[in-house]
Amino acid sequence: MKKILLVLPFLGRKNTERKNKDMTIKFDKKFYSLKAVKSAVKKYRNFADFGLKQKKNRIEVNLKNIDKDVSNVIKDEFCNYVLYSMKILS
Amino acid sequence: MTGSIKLLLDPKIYPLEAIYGASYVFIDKAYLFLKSGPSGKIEVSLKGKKKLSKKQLRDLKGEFLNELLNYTLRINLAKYNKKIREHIVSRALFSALGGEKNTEGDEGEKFNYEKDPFGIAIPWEEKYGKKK
Repeated sequence: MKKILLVLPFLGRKNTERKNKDMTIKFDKKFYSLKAVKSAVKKYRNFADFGLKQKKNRIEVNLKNIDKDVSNVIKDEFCNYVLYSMKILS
Repeated sequence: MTGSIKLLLDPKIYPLEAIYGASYVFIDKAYLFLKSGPSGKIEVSLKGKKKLSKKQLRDLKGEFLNELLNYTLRINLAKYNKKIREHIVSRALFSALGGEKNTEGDEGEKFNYEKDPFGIAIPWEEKYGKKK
């Protein structure tokens, strides 16, 4: 029973070292849709904690507790995935 | 972005759809990011997935621009041929559903090949050859 309780908070995310450094990516609404950004967040949620903010002309994505293994590529890979989603979802 | 190259594209020349298409082709090779540039232009940032030299980055830019032209042409052709394409498809579907009488069939009845009204099926010797 104890084991199960310990594992529960980590369900759905990788149990690896996390970086505390935050990261913000600003997507221009002219080129990126909220639907595409959300689909990318869904795919990448195991690697960081995502926060979404909608501004007038842009969508701001805030990344916290980024997985140490992917911290140097997550921004670029995430942006590419959003772009891919734009093409696929259109 | 470090080790990246930026392109400023005019949306009047390159439609956004073409930019998405070309970006999609390059997604395996490079990291791409789009944002608004000065005077309504679109800024595309290209960054190689591996470390690239300046020459390699310039080559990447050239390849991207070529792909962009390819997509622009495709989109323009699709736009110009839209009406005829829709007409052909709708006609094909309409015929397949039996909504239209087959005009070729009517002509076929008039000119039945078995009757051979023009005498095409008669052998040359039979038609023009010397009679014995």
